[in-house]
Amino acid sequence: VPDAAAVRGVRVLGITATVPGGVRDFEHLVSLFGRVEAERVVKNIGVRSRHVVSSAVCTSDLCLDAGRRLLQALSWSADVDLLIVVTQTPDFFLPATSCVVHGRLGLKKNCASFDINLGCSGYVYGLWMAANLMGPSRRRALLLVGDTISKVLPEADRSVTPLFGDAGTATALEWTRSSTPWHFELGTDGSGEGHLKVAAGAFRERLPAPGKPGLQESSGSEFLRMNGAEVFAFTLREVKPLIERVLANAGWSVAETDAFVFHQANKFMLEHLARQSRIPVDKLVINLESFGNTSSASIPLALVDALGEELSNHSMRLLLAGFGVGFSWGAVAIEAGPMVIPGLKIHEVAPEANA
Amino acid sequence: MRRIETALELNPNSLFESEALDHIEGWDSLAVVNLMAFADEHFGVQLSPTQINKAKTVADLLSLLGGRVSA
Repeated sequence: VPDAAAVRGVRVLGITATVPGGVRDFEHLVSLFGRVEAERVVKNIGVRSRHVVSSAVCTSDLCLDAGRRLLQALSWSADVDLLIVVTQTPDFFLPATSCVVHGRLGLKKNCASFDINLGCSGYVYGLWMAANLMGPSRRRALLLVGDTISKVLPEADRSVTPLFGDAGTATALEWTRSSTPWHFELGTDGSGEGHLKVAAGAFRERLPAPGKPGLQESSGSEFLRMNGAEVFAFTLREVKPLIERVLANAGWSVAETDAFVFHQANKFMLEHLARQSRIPVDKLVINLESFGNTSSASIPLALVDALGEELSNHSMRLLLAGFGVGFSWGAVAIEAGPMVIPGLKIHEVAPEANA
Repeated sequence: MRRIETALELNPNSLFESEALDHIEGWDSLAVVNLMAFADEHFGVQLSPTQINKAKTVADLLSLLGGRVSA
């Protein structure tokens, strides 16, 4: 049975990623939790060090760095018809980060721009939105996906602080008549919304203004809180069948799939998932040891970091799957490459001043 | 029982059925996740964190696994 939901006509032209220069290494973890506990945590989650932004640097700065390098590599200049930013750590409540970035990149005006507020599932959602909105009159899309979760990590919380890092990525898509179909599946279980959450700072729970008398002290709810056991239970419940269904829709076996690139949640979870889905170790991409879980950016970062050379030279059958905060998930079976991969850049990104 | 010890990163022969989970050093959120993975992988049982949190003793954990773990 052909997959009625398959999206046709879109090709990935290039991907790149930018990671900030600041490093939180293993010794930093030791200083927070002691050596024994630090080693136990690292053994389970598989993250030895993470890259984090300085306080002045935002998601837009990382994504702009990646976006500029990709636009230059493709010689696209200002000619982009669709700009999507996926992030849960925007620069502002308003305007949308995509509008800020549109201005900074100097893109042409007849360009549709908007943000998507999703994390772990965000890259697949971004691909899905872009692919569905593209056509003969909207041929070029730039998908910028990034997060700076380090800004909402409470240092003393062993369940989240050792895990998360920052990154920004850029993916260029082109509408073309000759592409292979992309097989998507997306889903939501909103009953899990409380299990991975930054509760305060928006409008349900405003943040107390620092230093202003009369306002209550911070309750800590401006930081990321995670119920790891509930997130793991959700993954066991949803992700294995999700992968099976998407492979079935694409008509691929595990053996016919070149690589499985999942949201880099943590090593323990990814290895468990792979064993349960009978995915061989050499087809499972795990690259979180030196980057951590970079939220929405983790799939494109893994593509560039772990598969960059292969994707530069060959076409690959990829199964991408993002799952987590929301709970929200998305997976896509996609044939991609050869494509332009300007390469991962790790450096001190300068904040761009507000206009 | 011995496999639960391994899953929970405990020393062999250190667990007793009547033991209160609160008294086991290392019984924490990481241990809960390890137990869930163990149950899924070896028994095809998906334990919910709520069920696990209700367990007071090692015997309660064993009964969650449907008596499929011999002591």
